[in-house]
Amino acid sequence: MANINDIQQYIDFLSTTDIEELEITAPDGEVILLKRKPGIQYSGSIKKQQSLGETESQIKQESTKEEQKDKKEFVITSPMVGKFLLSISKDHPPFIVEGAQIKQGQKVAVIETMKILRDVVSPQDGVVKKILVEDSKFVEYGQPLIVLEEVK
Amino acid sequence: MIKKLLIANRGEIAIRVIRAAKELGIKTVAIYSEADKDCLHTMLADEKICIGPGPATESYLSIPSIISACEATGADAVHPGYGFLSENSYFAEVCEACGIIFVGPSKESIEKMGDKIEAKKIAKKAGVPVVPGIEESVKNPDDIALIKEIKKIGFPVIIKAAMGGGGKGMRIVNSEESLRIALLTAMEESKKAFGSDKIYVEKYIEEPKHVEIQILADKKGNVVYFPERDCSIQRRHQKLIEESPCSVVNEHLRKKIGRAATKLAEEIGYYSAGTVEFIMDKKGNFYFMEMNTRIQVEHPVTEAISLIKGKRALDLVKEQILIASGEKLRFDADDISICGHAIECRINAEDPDKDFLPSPGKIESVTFPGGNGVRVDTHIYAGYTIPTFYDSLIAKLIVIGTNRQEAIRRMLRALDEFKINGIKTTIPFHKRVLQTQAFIEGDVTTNFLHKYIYEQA
Repeated sequence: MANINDIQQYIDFLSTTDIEELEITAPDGEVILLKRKPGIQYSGSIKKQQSLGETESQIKQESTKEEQKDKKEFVITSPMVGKFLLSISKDHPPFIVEGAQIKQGQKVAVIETMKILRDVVSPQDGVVKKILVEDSKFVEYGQPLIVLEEVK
Repeated sequence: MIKKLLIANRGEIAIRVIRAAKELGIKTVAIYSEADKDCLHTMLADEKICIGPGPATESYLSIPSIISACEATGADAVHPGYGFLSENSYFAEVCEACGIIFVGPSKESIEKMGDKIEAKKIAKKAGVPVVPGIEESVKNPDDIALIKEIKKIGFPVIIKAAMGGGGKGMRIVNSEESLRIALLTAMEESKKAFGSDKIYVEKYIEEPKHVEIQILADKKGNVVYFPERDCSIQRRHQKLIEESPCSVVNEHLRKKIGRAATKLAEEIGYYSAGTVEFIMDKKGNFYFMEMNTRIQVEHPVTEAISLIKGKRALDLVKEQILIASGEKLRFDADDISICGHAIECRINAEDPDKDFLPSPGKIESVTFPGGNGVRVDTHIYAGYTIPTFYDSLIAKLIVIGTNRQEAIRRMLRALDEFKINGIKTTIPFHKRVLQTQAFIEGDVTTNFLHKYIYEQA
């Protein structure tokens, strides 16, 4: 089995080159795949993997995250179980509409539980890309409500 | 009849309720916290809804979230299980106000039995024997009249928190000298643990048996009692092994205790399932301790041994649901007979070699016991990770035998078959107790562990 120090040596070596991928086959048949993350320098935090399959799946997961980061989207989830309300009442305009630009701390919706209203506020600036839940529908705790896109 | 039942609980008891509801043709809703998304109860219900993060105060104890979950799923009734909100009278009240059926007793019954001093007064009024003790809660530990009253009871005495339960906040005092400090400490502790410094003092019964009576009562005023359970094997007032019937209770005494429990239930107009707990001395004198206004962990022991009109047909949770729906009981106490002997072992994720230290973690593999006369109520499975937020109970192993000796042998056989890898459990502890000569002979009191297990260790 490869020694963690050995792997660190490979990582150190990689960081001095511009090689994107490095596959190492140990004498016992164990395969280690090191892959450079786009735009990220190698550091000592790469975890040792037992098999090629695992390594690939981990990298795949990481690259999915990278894609999301490229789009700079984030999701506001429900702070509690209750009724999702986009406005105070039918006579009032909705707090947000798709395409609207919002500020950090701005009220974007309200969750009603037993006649108690709890504000849902945006944790950051952004543009409302999609409202995932219909007005007045029940939502559970942690359910995604609104997709925001970061302002460029 | 209830159409859709939301179970405001988790783990094995949530599964127990889901099973009963399904057999009655009632739709089920599981609620769960973020920490419980892989818990088995969420997989067995017809619907599930996440109601909050891991800590119980923000999920299983959050009344607004649970009511909201009822609204969201259209549930017309809530079963609280045991623990969490099961004995919270305010929850029962809110359910009622929201038009949701609470599968349990009325809020008044919960309130009356929740205050231990009040409960004792009601029991006394109903003619149920109570442990000699002071009439009112302690207000001033330096009060001369109070000290005199306590001396009259005779030492040793036990100090209990009025709002306490589960054995918390109790203290035994052997002499007048240590009384004052004990009272002061108990008041302080009670305030911290239960938000009230209301404490009371009773005669301490030495080496007693904990005997309890399961009752069922409908909304029309019919009450039935079941054969007693002996829950004397306790560690720090937490029950570990329960059995039924009690080996020293004869038919005459059984009727006497059963009727006492019935009288108390009638006195407060109780309905639903409930348990009246008694403490019993060596002479068979029994005294009321408290009433639990919920379904209890050990209810399967009663289900195992009770015959109704000669048939093995008792499902206490189903009865609870039927009563909540307004149905009348279809049998009375005379229709109930005993068949065999049942024992339950509570399997906890605790290390018995390390002072029962909780041992959460991932269950790598598990093999369940089976065969004739064995029942396992559990929510664990291979690959399941026990969250750190909740109770350590992971399984209830119940066996039924033709007599006590067969039940003991069957339990030992089942405990041998029960293999849980990845975490420490109380299985080795149960094996040890069941092989102790005193247990086999039925010398079982609440002092058992201290007397036979830990002194030997």
